[in-house]
Amino acid sequence: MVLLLSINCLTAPIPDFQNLPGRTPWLGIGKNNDAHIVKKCQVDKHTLQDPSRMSQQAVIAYLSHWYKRQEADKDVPLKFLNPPGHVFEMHDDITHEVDKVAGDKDNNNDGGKDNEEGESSQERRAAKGKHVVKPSADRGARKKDDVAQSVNAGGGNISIATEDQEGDGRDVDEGQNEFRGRPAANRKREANQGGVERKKKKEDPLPITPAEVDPELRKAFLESLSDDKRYQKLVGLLDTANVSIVDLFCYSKG
Amino acid sequence: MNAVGRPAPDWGHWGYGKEFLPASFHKTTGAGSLSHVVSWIKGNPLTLFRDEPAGYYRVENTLLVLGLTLRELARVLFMEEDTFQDYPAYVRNSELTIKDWDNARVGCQMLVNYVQDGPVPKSDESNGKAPDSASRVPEKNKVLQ
Repeated sequence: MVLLLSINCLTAPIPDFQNLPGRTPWLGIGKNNDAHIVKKCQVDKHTLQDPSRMSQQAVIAYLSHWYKRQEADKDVPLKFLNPPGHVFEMHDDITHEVDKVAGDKDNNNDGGKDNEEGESSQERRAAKGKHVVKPSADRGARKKDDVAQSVNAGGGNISIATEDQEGDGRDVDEGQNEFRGRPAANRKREANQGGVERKKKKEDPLPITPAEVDPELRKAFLESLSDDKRYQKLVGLLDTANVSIVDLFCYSKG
Repeated sequence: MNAVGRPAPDWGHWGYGKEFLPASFHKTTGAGSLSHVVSWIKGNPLTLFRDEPAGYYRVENTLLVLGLTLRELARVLFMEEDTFQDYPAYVRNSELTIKDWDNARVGCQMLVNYVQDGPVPKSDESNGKAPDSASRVPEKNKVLQ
């Protein structure tokens, strides 16, 4: 989400962008959307802020709004490549149900801006018999993954995602997960481990520096360094690497 | 230790004892900088050595350099502003950008391709052409077996 804001949708030159190369001033954006992004690119219902602090509904609402603007050849703060339209249809389902539960009779997903589009897509989906995802508190975290997988399955690609080019929607938040670092990686690792081992990992978090890592924990340490799926793929292949006597010698020397 | 290809950055070993990579990593050029890492990756640290695929130690060390690089870039680019203040000044003032992040990930992808498809034949490398799958190195010679 770092490339989120392009010049054409910024309200004015923001010094933060120049002073902090490569880093998005999410704090400032969250405090005052109007100062950072033009009104037409905002979603009334939701405040644009650090995506890791936004609900899935809010994130998708923004993406959906911008996607629809792109479809209408309007200015957008980002460009979708191979737009994964069905993801936003799914989002409409989720939003629709959440709104229903919340007693919001307004059934739109973008704060009224895209009311007509939202309703018509709802009807299209109903005609196609697509399932409606029911909101559930305990499933909240999974919904984002589901949408991400859906993006991947459709070959969709969003250019803002820094983890973008392979169309893995999970990548949109990957940077933040990675920044938070070990917890995200730990979760992944723990999912692949047995119960006893899982408890052990929770009790003994991995060290931060390579020098502190025991040789038997090196692979786990490497896995924790980045959530980038290409990197994780390489780490996974470590199991298949040859081990020669020379390697063992070097390995023991560390 | 690194008899194959270009030398790895000086911090790229299991004895490195600091939480953050050195200031040299955040510089535009020079030993230990990100550009050094990227060119090191482009030199393919996993290449065959005496017709033998990369061994465990070499693969592990390569992944350490890659992993530390990605972690450091993520800290610079995706850090929360409230945590930002706890980081060393050279990290806070780092000039690394998303482009650098992309470069590192391109290098990562290059290694994935290499590992999956095997070494690129010399003739294709020199022509700058992407080799077809038939011209790839046989299965038995793949980097990781």
